[in-house]
Amino acid sequence: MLITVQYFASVREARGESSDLIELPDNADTKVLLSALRAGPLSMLEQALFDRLLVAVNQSVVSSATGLSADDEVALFPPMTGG
Amino acid sequence: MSVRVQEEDFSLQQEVDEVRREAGDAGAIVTFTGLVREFHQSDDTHTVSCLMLEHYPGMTEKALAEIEAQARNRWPLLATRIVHRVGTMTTQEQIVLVAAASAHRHAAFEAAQFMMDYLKSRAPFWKKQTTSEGESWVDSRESDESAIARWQTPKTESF
Repeated sequence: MLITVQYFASVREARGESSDLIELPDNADTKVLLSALRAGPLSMLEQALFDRLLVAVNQSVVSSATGLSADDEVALFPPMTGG
Repeated sequence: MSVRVQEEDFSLQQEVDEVRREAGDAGAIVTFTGLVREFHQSDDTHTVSCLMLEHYPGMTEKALAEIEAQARNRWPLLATRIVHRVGTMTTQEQIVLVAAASAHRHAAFEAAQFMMDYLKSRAPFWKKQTTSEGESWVDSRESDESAIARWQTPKTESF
């Protein structure tokens, strides 16, 4: 399946793109997605930044491996700094 | 109850007037306004000339609405409001407004603080500051996480 991943803030800047289309096995979860990104489009990110990234699936942050389907809205971003 | 994300500045008086009308027979309204500081982080030696706030449209509104709903679930509130600005701001401009109205002051004070504490690190906003050294993303702080942790441990009511 193809998953669109959106990037925000420092991740978007480091990547130079606001999103990527990633090919994953049909039963893949967010952990598989992160490995694919690390090996591919996000290979240039500093390890310290990559380790702190948050993953949101359908606009909610997930803290453990979460199953994905092709129509999920997936986003990757650094810790939030609002207020 | 309402949450808004907008580029333009807001009028504190107008927001409070609306909260007051919505709240009916409230005895207390607490408001918090966040401003852009010249020295954003305590270890900064370079003054901030400008702050840019990026957000995740869609998720931001959802996250703020969830924070507001949690506060209303936890305290007997008559009205609540969150207004958060995005885009480019200069020092001393208003960034964020949180308001909570209730019959008595304790609920309003606590709910306003709760919403601010959660908003800092649970709503998808990111700050980028410009100083004489150039642009840099503002780091998240440990203290923001501990501010949330304190609401998560059961405690006995002190009033």
